Amino acid sequence: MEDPAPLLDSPPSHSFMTSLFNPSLPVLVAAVFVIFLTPLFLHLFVFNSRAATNLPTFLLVGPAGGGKTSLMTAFESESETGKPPPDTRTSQTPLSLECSIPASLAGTSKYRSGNDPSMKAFKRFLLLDTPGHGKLRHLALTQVASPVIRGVVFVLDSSLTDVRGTAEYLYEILLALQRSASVAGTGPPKRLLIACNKSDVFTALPASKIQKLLEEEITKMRVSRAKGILDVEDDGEGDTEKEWLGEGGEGLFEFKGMEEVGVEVEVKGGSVERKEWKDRLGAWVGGCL
Amino acid sequence: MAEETARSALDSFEIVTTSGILLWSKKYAPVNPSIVNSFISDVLIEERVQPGTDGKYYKKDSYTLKWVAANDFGLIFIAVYQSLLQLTWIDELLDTVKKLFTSLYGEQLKRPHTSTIECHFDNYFDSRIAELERRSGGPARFTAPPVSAEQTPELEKWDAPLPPPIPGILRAKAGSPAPPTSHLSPAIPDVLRPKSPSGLLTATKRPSRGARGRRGVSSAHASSGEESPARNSNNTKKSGKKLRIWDADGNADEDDGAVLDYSARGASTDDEVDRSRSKATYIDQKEWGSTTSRGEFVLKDLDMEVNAILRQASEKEASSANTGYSAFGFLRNIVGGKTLTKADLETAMAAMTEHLSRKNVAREAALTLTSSVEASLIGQKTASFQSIEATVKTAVEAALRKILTPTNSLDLLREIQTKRAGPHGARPYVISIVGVNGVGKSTNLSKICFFLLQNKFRVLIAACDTFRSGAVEQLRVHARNLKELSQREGGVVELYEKGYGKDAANIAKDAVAYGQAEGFDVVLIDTAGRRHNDTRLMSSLEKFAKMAEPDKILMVGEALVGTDSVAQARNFNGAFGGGRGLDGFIISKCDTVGDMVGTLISMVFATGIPVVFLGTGQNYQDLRTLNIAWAVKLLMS
Repeated sequence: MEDPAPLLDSPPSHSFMTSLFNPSLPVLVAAVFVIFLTPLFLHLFVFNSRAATNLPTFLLVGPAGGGKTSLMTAFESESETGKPPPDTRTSQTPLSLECSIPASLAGTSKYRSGNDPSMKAFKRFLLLDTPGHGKLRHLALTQVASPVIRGVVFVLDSSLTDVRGTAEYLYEILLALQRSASVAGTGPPKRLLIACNKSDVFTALPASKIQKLLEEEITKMRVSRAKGILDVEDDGEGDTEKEWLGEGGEGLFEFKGMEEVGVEVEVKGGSVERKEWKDRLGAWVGGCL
Repeated sequence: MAEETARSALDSFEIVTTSGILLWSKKYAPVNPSIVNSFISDVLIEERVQPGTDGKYYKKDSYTLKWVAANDFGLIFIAVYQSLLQLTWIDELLDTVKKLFTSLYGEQLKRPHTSTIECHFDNYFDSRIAELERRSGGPARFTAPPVSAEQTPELEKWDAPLPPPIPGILRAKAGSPAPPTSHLSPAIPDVLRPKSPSGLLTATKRPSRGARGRRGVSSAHASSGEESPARNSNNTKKSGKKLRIWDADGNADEDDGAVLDYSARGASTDDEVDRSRSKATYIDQKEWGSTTSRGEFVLKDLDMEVNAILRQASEKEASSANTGYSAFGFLRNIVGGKTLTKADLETAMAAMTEHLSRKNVAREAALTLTSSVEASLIGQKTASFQSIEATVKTAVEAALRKILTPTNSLDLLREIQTKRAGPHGARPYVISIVGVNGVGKSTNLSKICFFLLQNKFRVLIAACDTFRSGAVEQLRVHARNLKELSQREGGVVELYEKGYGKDAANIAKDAVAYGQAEGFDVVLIDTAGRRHNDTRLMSSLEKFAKMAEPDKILMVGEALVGTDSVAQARNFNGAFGGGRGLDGFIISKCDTVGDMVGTLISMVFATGIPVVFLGTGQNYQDLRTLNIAWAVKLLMS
């Protein structure tokens, strides 16, 4: 009972505590300020950089010099700004752009009447361009498995000067897609469009020929990968079934066979210069939405 | 015409985003985009430094490229010019253009999901380059003669003693306002100046016409030639025309944008000047007082704006450097969103260098690596709730990953198959192994041989170590063991030996010929170990590479070696003569170093050549490929 007395006697701390718990105006104002300004502060200074977009995203991958960035900017400038697309150089960082296609192209519009007003609207989506340089491909490969990605577009140069290099990258992408499809289990299939760009060039090969060459190359690659040396982390035991692209055993690899493991592959030819991708890529994107 | 030659001092100037979009460019001569592309992939992505350039410039074909990066905006400013020219002002141009462009369009660049920006940068750029060219006195000189030629009648009359050919320099040096501005000004002001302030106004403007013509904004200079006689005959009309020309390259209206607001007023016709004389006088006086050099009136406006922006930018820079220590700065460090400066990064970088050294990364490589990471971080903002240390750590991780990732495929089997798929009786695939003494050349050769035998290849081992006693016998034992091991698998192995003391290069050549005749798929050539700083021994490698023409030259390096690894890799890479280098490294004895795998980084960093295999034990099957994630994890642990 004696204890409270000395406490009351110590005026500085006591008066401070009383004033703090009193319903005085300054304290009240300060409290209100803190309460209202904290979320504002958090919003303005901490979280402002994050754009809240939940648009479906399509990934652009492929070897350097295939025309990923120009395909993307051409698509954007045609659907959005109407200005001529800018020139492009070798990319070092990913970039996403907002694009749109007429809603009539979307897969879900199949059952709508042609006069439905919603057919006049636009479907918006993001195109995510990734660098194609060998040292920066991990940026794309980590993205492929992400659930945000609705489809992957593999852009290549139709002249196909380096079949092996191109097939190598395609192999990686297909393997990553297969892996994520098997993890996801049942669900919509992963979609891959092989866009054979620059078909207007004199040395360009037709899309069907490119498909055949790539399939042949991947067939060989599959075998040599299976026989190759293990990497350091692999202890060589337990994980006996090395990752094998596609279903089934040896024999010719076909893109069609990838459907069995949940990856749909399509091959299309076109040219950014002739502005052919607006329709072709648009239709494919629509099918994925 | 003359303007064109002046322009060609610089071939093109490009502003590119890191995501590969060309935001703005100025072309004076056609430059193939592949020049800039190869610059980006060589220097910015692969971080190769061309010998002798010190990383300050990049040469490709007949061009030299200089660049500066703005990390906070993800921009690269690239100037391309002919290597023959010695342009001293390129660095300054890059610097000022960077400051200008980022302060003018920085807001637009920060927006998400944008590719292009609205920019009308041409005028700013032209004024900048014109000033720099003039200041240096170099290329501007070429442009001057035509203008002076037009003026010669006047000149001869008025100032005969003045030397006409290099007015550009003269004028640049003349600091004081009207009289010395140029050789032209004395021609007219003498008549006009006493009359009225408006006369003064036109007088100050006149040289600007000359400067304009000389600078040659392409549309303007064509007309300037035609107009100059008119100008000489009639002063008042001239000022009117000036207005129009200025408009032509800016806006079409008489009422120009805010940028040109002085010029619009200054360039009004004499009627207007009469009407608003007091106003004009006032403005003129203000200008007069504010600046010393009144050389060019019209362009001075732009220059003034440009200078103001530049001043602001450098002020901001200075102030941001000071506020780094405030309480808010400390908060920023915790919460994130702090703009990184060199001072902020210093301690984190020193710690990182120390850490890498502890992982057996050679000091030279560690220092270069951290300084390149530092350069890429300066100006960037830390992410939300991320400290500087964490930011640095992720950046170094990314850099290590980038270094170790090979540029092209390392699938050896596929390469051999492709080569053997050719016509029958073709040359076998030749792999030769080089390295310092005692690093495990023969051991790793037999490991590779075992791997190839398992894949049913016919392999010939050539014993080209004719120097160390016992070397051939050692290989003979390996060949015998491998033969026994591979008999069931279906591989064939044979040893090609010619004893000791003979020339290794000749033996290698004979071995390849023998392999071709006998239909072997692969020839593996073992060489004598040599000290990398022994020029006599190293010089024989050049002949060896020429004679044996290996498809792959692999160098074996010990994981145990420390600082010396950089020199080893460099010297071996340079020993094979022009155009030929190493194709890959085998890092042996990886099982003996635990997590100190820094040699991987040192060797790859020094040469840019990938690691093909790792030796991880004593047995034939203890050969592994590199897993980059594994290596990065060990290095950062």
